[in-house]
Amino acid sequence: MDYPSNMSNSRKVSLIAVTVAVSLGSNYILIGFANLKIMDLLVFISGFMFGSLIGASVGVLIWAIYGVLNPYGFVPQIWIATMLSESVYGIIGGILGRSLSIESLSSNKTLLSILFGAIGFLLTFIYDLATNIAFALTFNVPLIAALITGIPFAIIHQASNAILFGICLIPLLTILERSHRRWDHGVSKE
Amino acid sequence: MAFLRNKWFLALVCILCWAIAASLLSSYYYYHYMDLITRLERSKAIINLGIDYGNGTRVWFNSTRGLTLYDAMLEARWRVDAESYGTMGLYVKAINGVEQSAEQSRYWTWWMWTSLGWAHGGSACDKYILSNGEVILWYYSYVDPKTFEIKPPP
Repeated sequence: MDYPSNMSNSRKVSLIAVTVAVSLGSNYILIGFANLKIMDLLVFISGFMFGSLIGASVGVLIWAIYGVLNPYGFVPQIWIATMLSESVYGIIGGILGRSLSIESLSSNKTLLSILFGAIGFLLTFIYDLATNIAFALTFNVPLIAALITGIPFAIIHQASNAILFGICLIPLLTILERSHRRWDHGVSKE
Repeated sequence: MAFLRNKWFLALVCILCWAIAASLLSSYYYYHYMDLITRLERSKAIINLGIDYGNGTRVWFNSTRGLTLYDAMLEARWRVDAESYGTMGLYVKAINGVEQSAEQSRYWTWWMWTSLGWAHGGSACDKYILSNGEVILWYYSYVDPKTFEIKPPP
């Protein structure tokens, strides 16, 4: 997908702002469900559609706000770790978005769903690993103990993201691509 | 993407995910299992356990460890033949090949040493939680068939 090359700066900024706002809203709605968030999916989608830079920016910005205004508390080291780790979803989304065309999304739906589910799982594994290491270093907890006690939460997080990525990613990308094309068409007419 | 057409690549990615999930879960349960074993090991009591075959042979197994009396008997490597009565616990029919005998009216009973002498154990051996330093004796007792009075160990 080659949107970033023909996208104006104001549109980029507005896209980042809207995605961040939607992610933040969903995060606060789902605050009661530990490790069940659609934020990761939205960050990945923003990277996939608009490039790694925008994807990473969305990830960092979401955590810049959500990490500070968080009912579970604010810890600077973990805040930085989550910001950096979240941006990985956007970066990998951008890399995949460059190599996949929208035609391939509609032609290989089953295989792509499996691939996206697996990518969601693996990215979440990296995210959980990084944030658990940051937690252990911050609170001087033995690393192995921190990793092991975090496993139930990590499994829920990874499984939910695998399902979300596997089921929702292709329909969402298809809808967004169509609306984007329509919007682009409308703008060029004017 | 060329690799998407390769189903082996997808299979490999899925197996990788499964391996990560399985490793995480197994390490989590292994950690908790080991933690539980360590805690149980620490909470085991050390007792002096004895067995009296009712023919003058009495053998002591000092410093035997166990959570319950039944644990301690197994820890002492006794061969125990017992029947489960559900929530009431185990009924011991034979120890080390010596079986109860209805004809001779001899049954296995366990006794605890107190300041007043031997006191009959009030519960099934697997239901009795041991305390450190207890002295417990299994005795091949004679039970009066008319009064059901159990003869205590000498």
